[in-house]
Amino acid sequence: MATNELKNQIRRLRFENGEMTQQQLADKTGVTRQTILAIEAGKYAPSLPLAFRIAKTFGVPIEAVFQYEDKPAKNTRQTNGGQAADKDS
Amino acid sequence: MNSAQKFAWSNLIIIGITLTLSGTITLLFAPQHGIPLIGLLGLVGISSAVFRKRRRRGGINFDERDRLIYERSLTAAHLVFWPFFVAACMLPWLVFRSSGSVPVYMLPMILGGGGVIAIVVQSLAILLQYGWRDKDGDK
Repeated sequence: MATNELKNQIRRLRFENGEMTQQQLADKTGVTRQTILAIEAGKYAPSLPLAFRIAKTFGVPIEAVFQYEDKPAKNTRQTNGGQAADKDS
Repeated sequence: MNSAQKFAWSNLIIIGITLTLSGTITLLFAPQHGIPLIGLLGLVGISSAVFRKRRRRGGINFDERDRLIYERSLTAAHLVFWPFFVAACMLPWLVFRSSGSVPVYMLPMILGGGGVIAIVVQSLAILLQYGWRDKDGDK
C-alpha cells in the first residue's frame, strides 16, 4: 500500500483553503479522516474517483493535488552508479 | 482507532487470554479442566457484533481504503487457513493410518484450530495495514 512515487499537496491545499481540517475534507469527499491522513502521508494511493473528488473540493485540477514521481528502479541506480542520482538532482 | 482495529484487537485479546488460561489450567491441573475453557473463544463472535460498522451521524466510517484492507485481510486469512487445513487433515492420516482410526477429538481440533488461525491472521493483517497504532494527525 506504500506509494512513494505518488506525492500530494493536500496538506498545503487544506491550509490554503481556510485551514480546512482533515475531518472537513473527509466529510466533503466521502471518506474517513484516517484515509485522508494516510493519503497525505503517502501511505495510500486513492482511487481515481476519490482523487478527482479531492481535487474538486479544492477547486484545482487533479495534477495540482497529485504528482507522480517516476523513480528509477533500485537495480538501475546500482547499475548506473551515481549517474541516476546526478540526473535526479 | 476505528471499528475494524477494535475488532482485530478484541479478537487477539480474547484468543490470547483463552489459550493462555486454557493452557495454564491444563498444565497445572488436568486437561478436563482446561480444555472446556476453549469455549471462551465464542466471545470472538460477540466482538464482531459489538464493533460492527456503525455509521457516524452525518459522516462516514467505512470507505474504499477500509474495504481494501478488509479484503486483503480476508485473503491473508484464506491463504493461511487452507494450507493449515490440508495439513491438519493429512497429518492424522499419516500418523494414525497404521491403527486404522483417527481419534475423534482431532475433528474439533482441526476445525477450531483452523478458525483460530484464520481469525488471528485476519486480525494481524488488519492491524498491520492500518499501522499498529492509530496515528492522529491534526484534527
